[in-house]
Amino acid sequence: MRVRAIIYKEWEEALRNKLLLYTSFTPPLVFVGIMVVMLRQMARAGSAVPPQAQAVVSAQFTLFLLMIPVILPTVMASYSIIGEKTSRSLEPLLATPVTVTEIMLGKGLAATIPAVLETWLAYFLTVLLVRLLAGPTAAALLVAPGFWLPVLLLSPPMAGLGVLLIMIVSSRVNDPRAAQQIGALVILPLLGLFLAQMFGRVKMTPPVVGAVFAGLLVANYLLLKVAVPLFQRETILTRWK
Amino acid sequence: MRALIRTEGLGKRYGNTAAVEGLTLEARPGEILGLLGPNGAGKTTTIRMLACLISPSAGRAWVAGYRVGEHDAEIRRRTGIVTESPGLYETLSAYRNLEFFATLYGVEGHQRREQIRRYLTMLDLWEDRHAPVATFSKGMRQKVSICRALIHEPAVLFLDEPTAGLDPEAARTVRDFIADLREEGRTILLCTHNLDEADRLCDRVAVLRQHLLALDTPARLRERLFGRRVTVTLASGDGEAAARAVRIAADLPFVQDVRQEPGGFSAALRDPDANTPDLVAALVRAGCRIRAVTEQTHTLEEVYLSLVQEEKQ
Repeated sequence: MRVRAIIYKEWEEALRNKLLLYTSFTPPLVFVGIMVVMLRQMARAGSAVPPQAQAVVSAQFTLFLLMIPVILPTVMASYSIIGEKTSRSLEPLLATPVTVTEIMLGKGLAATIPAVLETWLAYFLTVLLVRLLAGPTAAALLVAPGFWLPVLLLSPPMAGLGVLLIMIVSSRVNDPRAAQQIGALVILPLLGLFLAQMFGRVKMTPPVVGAVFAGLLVANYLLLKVAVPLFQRETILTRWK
Repeated sequence: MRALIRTEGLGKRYGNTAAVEGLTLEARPGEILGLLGPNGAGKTTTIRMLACLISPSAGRAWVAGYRVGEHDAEIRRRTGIVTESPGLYETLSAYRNLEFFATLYGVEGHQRREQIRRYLTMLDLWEDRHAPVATFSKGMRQKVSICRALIHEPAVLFLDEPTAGLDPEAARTVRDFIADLREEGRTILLCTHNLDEADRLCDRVAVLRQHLLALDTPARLRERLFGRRVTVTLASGDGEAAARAVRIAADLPFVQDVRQEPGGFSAALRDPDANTPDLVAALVRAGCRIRAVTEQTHTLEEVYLSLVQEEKQ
């Protein structure tokens, strides 16, 4: 119940923050636009596009879509702790019976859920637009399991990982930008994975996606375990100015 | 009656700096205990330790019957805090702020709605309940933060500068409200720099400067530091008449100390309530013409400054 209350409160505050709303909707729309234009060009080129190039495009699009759940929650997650501190609302919050785990979960899920939903929405929008503007052959690339499975399955734990990392950092620093920059490091392993895919070192088969998903879940759990003790009420209240 | 706040040698250090040292005090149900002291004296640190926001470095403390550091969640359920800055969610309405905190304190459903309505009405905010807090005046925000501290009906309240920066009217509303809370039997720890406010509201005051300098009722602290003196103003007011009156007063057995002053004299009496009529009678019998007899009063500010200066020396 307390976690739900925190989630709703975070969303209500976010909906009243125009900057946050703009930054939440701009990246997915840009990515969708790029993908639709590229696939339309490929469709126009017809059979001239070799299968290797199609694989590269597919990997690139997966990367685009999986960057959304990493990028989007950074602003919300970083402000969720630092914002409380700067508005001096953290002290009354910490004086309630709410636990650190509940605060972390509430704030973390509040940032993660919209990012994942937006990623999925961006995916479905891309499929729809490509189907309409570039035809069924181009759209087929997007509905192959090697494409939709990582997008749908990996975006929640990817978002969770980024959010947790940002929240750990933001419970130790005063500047939201520092937290965002460090949180964005989650993109690095993602980049590595998809570069490997582009160069044919890794193929996003269902077992590979499942293994990555399991690994990310474990990483999320471990990071939450680390985040709770790192969130020190006393340090936050007495050292932050 | 069991104390709802009790500390034994409570202390807090930040590195080599002592914020609070060896603090021993208690507050009983229905009592307002004032925490006074200069900036950096450890008032807020004390409140934070008792509200389980920071952990003590030394000593022990109990709040609402639970030991600080062992049953923090139980203490948090039974205490409310008004922090120096209201610390509200500015974009949310007063109602939503209270609804959120009520949920965190476990107040749900109908009870939650009733509690919000009750306190917003009591503090005259019900009409503005749906307006964002960002549009509120400082006084209105402080009222919302008081509602927040009370939404779960805590037995113990920690108030850190609740009237700081408020206009006189808003400050008076808040003060009256605090007095009403005492009538409900809540124990209140009031941290303030406003000594007039402390004098009017507090049953007892604790003067801190890292450690406890004094703990008593304002009246007893005045008596202890300055004694109770009466000032006798004579009708003639010349030096000779005053000197004669001083000699008469000094011979009386209940007069402990007499000082000649312009227009008359002042005297410390053993029991001013009982001895003042006897002093007046003795002076009149001796032919002194008295214009006025007043009891010297000292403000809590004088008491406080005297204690703090004494500590500095």
